[in-house]
Amino acid sequence: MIFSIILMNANYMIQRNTTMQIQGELEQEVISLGQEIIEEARSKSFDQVTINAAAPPVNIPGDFTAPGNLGPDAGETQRTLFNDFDDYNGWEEIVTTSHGDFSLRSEVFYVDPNTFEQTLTRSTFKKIVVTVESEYLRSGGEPRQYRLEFIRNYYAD
Amino acid sequence: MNLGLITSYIIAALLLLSILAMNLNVQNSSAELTITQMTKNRLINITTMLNDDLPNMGYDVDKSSQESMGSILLDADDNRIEFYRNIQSDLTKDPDRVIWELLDESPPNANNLNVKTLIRVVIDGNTGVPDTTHIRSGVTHFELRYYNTVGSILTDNMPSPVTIGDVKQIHLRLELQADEKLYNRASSDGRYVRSVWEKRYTPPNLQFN
Repeated sequence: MIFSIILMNANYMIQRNTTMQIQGELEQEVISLGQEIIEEARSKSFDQVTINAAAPPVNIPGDFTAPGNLGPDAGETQRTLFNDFDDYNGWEEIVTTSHGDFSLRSEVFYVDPNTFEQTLTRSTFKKIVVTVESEYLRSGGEPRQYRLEFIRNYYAD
Repeated sequence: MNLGLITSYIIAALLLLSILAMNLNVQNSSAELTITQMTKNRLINITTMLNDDLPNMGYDVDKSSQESMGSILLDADDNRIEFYRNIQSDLTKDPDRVIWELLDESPPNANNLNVKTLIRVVIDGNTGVPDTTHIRSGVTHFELRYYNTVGSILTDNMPSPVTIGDVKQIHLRLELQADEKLYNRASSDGRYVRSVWEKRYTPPNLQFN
């Protein structure tokens, strides 16, 4: 009886060790993928009106894209065609890596310059939230959601 | 000898064997966890350097010298990359050349013959003096892929040799293996614990090429 309990505990420990190893390896990939998208979005213009613009918009932030229209513009059907930061709003993709498939999606919205919370009015700050999931990283039976966030300022470009 | 005594001997022997097997399994698991952690720490050390070097390529390289140099990237090979970067942030200084390359040679006294030497060379822009760092931390793969479009699918990389002026994104796959083999059974061949890291970089300065 005592030996059975010891054996079960040992088995549990071995299982936990293995799970931790796999989780560590996959979480490394999750961070890379999230950073990849954020770096990519940062390399694009802040807004549709600032793409190759000879001068800054007359009204800042009034001339920026309306909060309800953030997302890909007409014809921007895939990631390679995105040309500004908020085109990544609503984007979803399954990315295959050597660690398996990862589900990625992103959301872009304006944030309040003081609180950095989402706002439904235009501002000079936009925030991107990239959510990454893997079939093998679960919590409570559901895939665990890893959220990576980045706030971008129009003037800091 | 009575039957009860024989049975108790057999049960005791089985128990002893089970305890030994359990002990061995726990020991193997702990060894694997420790080696994995060591491999990961080494990987993190290398990726910290890469995460500083690659995204910042072309940093503070002024346009006039960039034009005379032709491009920020000087070499874009499968396991070698060379680029300009002015890490001193001093415009009076010529940009340094940074090289990352996986050499096809194992470090001296390596237990794992899959391991190769990764080098990082910084060539001073003014003096031309190279500062070479030999990274002998278990690197087995340092694979680079190049893209002329931002955000294309992973397999859509540029064919080799790439036109370096067109490169917009760089994908890196780094694999490290442990020095020592792990044996689950005394008769097995054993295996090396490995850790793989991959990332696609979008260096902002390459977007203006």
